[in-house]
Amino acid sequence: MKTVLLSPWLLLLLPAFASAQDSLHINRPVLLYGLATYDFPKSYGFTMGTSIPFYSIIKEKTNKDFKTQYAEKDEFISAELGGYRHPFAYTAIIANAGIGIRYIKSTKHFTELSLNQGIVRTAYDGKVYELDQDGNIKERKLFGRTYLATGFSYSLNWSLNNGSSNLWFIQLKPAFWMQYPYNSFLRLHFSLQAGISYRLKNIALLSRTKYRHLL
Amino acid sequence: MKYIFFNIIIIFFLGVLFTGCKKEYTGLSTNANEIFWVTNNGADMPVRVMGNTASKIIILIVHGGPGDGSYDYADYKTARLREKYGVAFWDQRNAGSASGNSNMDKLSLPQMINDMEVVVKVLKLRYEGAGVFLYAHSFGGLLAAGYLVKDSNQNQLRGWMEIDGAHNYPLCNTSSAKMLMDTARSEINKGNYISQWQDILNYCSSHDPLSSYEISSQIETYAHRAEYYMGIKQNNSILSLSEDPSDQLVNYYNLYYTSAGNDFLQSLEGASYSNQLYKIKIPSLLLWGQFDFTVPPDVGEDGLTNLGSSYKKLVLFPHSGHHPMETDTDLVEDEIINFIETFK
Repeated sequence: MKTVLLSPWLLLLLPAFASAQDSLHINRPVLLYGLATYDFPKSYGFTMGTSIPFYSIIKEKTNKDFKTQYAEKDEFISAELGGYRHPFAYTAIIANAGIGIRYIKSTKHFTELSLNQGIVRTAYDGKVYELDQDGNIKERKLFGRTYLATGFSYSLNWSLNNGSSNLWFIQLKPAFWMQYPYNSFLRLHFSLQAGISYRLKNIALLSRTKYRHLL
Repeated sequence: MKYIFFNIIIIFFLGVLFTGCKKEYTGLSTNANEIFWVTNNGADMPVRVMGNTASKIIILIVHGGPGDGSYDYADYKTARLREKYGVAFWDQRNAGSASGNSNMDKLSLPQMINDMEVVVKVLKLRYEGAGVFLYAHSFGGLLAAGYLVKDSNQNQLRGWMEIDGAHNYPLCNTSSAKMLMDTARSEINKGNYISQWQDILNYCSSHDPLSSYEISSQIETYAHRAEYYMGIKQNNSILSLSEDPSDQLVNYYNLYYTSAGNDFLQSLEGASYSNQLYKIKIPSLLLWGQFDFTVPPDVGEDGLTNLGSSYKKLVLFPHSGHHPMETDTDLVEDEIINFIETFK
């Protein structure tokens, strides 16, 4: 009996929610980006890529004062092609496919977290020599190695436009990645990328909106 | 607008690629700075050539370690040598910036000797008519000795410099333990670093340096510390060994934390070329730090005794340990220049 009597009081003490969700189609941008890359300690290069959203989640939260806040997340896939140069060592081409989440803070700012899987092909600087079967030295043209590459990146993006067009964004992206098998192990990289994103076009995609109301 | 974006990207991308394809080899020069690579049995090894290649003299750096790199020598330690001669900084397999895919299973002393044969052949081809001298330090002394006693390899060279070279690992271990104990007793009597020297004395007097790799490794650790106790200037950073610290981390992990690396290190414990040094007839210059506890001067004496060279000379540097090129730079370079000028 005491339990029954206490229950309404407990309800008053705890915050109460009402949740709901629905689905609809919304327009989200496909982005193209070009980034200058500095890979520590001394490599530099360039990456271009595109990201295509495929699913969106919008969280709408209304608080006690009936103020509504939105948190938007787009899930996207990406493809990248880049090149970088390690002076007096090699030049490399890297191709990546990725999957990530874009956190949209406002119309002027968003961040992205992504996981990339790709392939790196190096070509060594200068001439490459090897011994042939007859014991003579021969030259190998464009010789290099192929490695797999896996990495995480986090990007920060700010709109460059004053109006509502939001065509151009400036992007800053630190990334950790590793190439393997490198001397039977893996080689770690830390890169800092900076450049621009361009909103190519909007595409319609399925969006799920979650509503959360504080009662 | 998107075409502008595409144009910017393509121009930048092509710019990177074209600068990447530039030809590094600049021919003979008084101030060369070029690179070539030697690929051999799974390892791609860079050879950076700096200095005066127009002199038609090339000094090939055979670095220590194993697992270090040649980059550590490309500073003040060889500045005067680079002014007068070309200096070739070769990174051995699984060392420095040498790369490759899955190659740790191929790491062995005979394989490295084979690598060195190819590197010297390429140098002779690339700098036709040049006289090549070896500059072999520490583990490089073992590798160079192995190269020189094999077949007619020594005919490719005008001479070699062994600098605190470990051409006899068992002798290094026993001499190191003996030198540590002798010095410990003397330093304890003088009242210097008493507890530290006592630890060293206790360990060395109770362990046979030839009984296991772990014991010889511990003795080597004490040998490095002993240099510090004797006031020898040391650079203990492994990050300076390779141009890119990531490379050095991979190489050290492979050597010390994989079974293939440990097998290789243990295989070196019995490596000795003392009984074959008589085969070496080319001029030999042996440079040793008086306070080298890692590869003690006894090993240099062993080289002087056993080498078959008609010209052989051992020089001890009184203010140096295992790296006389760091601590007695001018004296070391003077000896090398005199040697090369005599036999070039």
